[in-house]
Amino acid sequence: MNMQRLFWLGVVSALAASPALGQSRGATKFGVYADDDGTLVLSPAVTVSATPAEGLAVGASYLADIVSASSTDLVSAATKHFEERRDDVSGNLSYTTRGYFTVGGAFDYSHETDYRSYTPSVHVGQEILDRNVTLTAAYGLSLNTVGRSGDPNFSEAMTNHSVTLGASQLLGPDTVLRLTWQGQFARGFQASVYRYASVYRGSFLVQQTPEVLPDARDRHAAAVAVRHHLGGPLYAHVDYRLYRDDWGLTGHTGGTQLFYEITRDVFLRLGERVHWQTGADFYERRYSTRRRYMTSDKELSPLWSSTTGLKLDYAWRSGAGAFLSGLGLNAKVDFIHVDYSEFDPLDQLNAWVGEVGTSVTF
Amino acid sequence: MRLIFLAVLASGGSAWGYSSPSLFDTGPSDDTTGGAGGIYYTGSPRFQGQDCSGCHRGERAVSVRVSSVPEDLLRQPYRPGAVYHIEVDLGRDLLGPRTCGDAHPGDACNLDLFALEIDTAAGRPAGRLCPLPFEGDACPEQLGTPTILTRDGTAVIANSLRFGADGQPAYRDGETARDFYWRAPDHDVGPLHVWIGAVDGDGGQSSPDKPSDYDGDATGVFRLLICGPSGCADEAAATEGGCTSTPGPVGWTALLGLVVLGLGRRRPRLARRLVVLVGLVLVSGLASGCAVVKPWQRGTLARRCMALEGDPEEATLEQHVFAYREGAAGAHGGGGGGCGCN
Repeated sequence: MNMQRLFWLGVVSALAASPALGQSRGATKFGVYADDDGTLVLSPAVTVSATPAEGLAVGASYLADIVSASSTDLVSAATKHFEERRDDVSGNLSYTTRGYFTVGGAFDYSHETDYRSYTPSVHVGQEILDRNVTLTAAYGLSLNTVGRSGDPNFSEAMTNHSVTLGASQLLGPDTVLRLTWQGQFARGFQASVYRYASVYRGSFLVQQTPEVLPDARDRHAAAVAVRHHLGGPLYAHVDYRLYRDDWGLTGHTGGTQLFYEITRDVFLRLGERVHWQTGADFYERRYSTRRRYMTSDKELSPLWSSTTGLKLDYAWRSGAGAFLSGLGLNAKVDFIHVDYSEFDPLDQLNAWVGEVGTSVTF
Repeated sequence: MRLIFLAVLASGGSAWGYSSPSLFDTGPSDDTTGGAGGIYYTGSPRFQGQDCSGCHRGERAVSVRVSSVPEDLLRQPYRPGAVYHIEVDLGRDLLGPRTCGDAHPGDACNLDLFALEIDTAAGRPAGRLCPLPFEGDACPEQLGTPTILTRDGTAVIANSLRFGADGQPAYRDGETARDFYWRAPDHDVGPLHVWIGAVDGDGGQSSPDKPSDYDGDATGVFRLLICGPSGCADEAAATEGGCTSTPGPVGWTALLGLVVLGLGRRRPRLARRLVVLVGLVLVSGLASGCAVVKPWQRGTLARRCMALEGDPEEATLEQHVFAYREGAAGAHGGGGGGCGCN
């Protein structure tokens, strides 16, 4: 309930700070994730933002994850089923000068029964060369407290530093390019307290031990994205991301989207995203001896995944002088297939993701 | 400027566009309709390229023809201090010379309009404008027939409707051209650009009391070059997309370089990665210096389908889903497209 109060305080503050001359936006999103591994997640989200003065923007958002799961991970942890809720509240503030320099900050608070996270962040940006190039930099510090359900005495800390650098460039009247690099540097407890790794002799299970992961993880991801107007109502988007961390995990992620502008207000988007990754150095399908680091996390195993999606987006805008300046409605559906080549409990996963969103602009 | 533009969208009133471009001159809350607060939508850099397509939503384009006497300014350099009679003709009329009001009851109102300014290559208004012939050095009236001088004197605006004493609009049957006068700067200030934002109305759902329906209207932005007495080649090249240099990318690159040097001793691997990034940024910055996309070329970039940032709520949920399904993460976002479309 406190989270809801915080959120509504943010809503009231954002709207109160917005006099009649500013623009205010409110948006809702409701997401549903369901997979054939027994996990169902409902994710309602609300966002409000306002521009109370020239160059100044404030915003607040609330997101909840209502999880009902009995996945393979949990079975391996001898927990047959659980339901949980995560609440996430955030607020942000930014100011852009007439010279197109932006400075801002945000704060995010996330809470669930066995996990708590505080994440302050700052960002700067500068548009240069007649606004043909946008350079951005951001830093975030995430302070996490890991707990264990039913064990009030268990508490571990994990800190994550995140640095993001980005540059976007107009390549022409119909093409835009973006380069992004992000480094994440995590220190502290990073294992799941509910996950166990198993040691086998031949086909016999001889020992189960709590997952043990390194206390430090440095992650680097670099991405390039290009969007291009193909002509007429067609637009194309292509992106690629290279990921590497010091746990030995390397990932390649590529995506493409095709936009069809049905009318000026409505577009249809068809997308395909493919991800392939190696496993972490210490990941093994079956451990034959006890190791310093052991995991049964399928996200640390070699895998590839495919995500195919369709989105329909409608945005109406009124003319100048109207009190209500815009309305938006969108819906999307994604189908995700994940193939685990070296994860015995599960060789593949199929999931559906559905979302419905609305927005209103005053 | 951004605030003012947004304020126009957010202020109270009907869902119709401006009933007259003279409202560009009024403040956002001056009346129930709201004004543009001094934004004239000419597409010029001083208005960040904002033009009529911000509200008028047609797919077709407008054509204009500009002529002047005593010399054709588009073919000959201006003479410092000389007065020119300039005519702008929106010759190809989408709806045709139809009107509404008393003379043509039941017809949709054909609202054609333009806003025009003449700026230096640096984007500053040059010379003086007047809707009527100058009287000595003075402009006798701000209101002409049918052009209007903006309050700050930096632009002229015109439309195909005139409003009688009873406030009812009347169309200038058969007319597609509007004229005004311009006194060239008293000395050579280099080449100049004529910026014109124009609308060719299609009538749509308009009526005499709401003449400014904008759906289906054709729009266009025009930048015409007037050479200065000393020529126009060098300055024109600078504004036509030639190589430019600003301290911006140099400063950013220097900053990143310092970070790399600082990290080099303690974290050589990270430093190497940053070197690659610095290189990319530098190449990107250098490339941009030779491929500048001007504000009036950004109509496509401003479309929703070209927005790299997209739907922020969708991005949040999507990253959340993938973060739980995959071991890799990060490098999402990182700045918008820089379309400069506010």
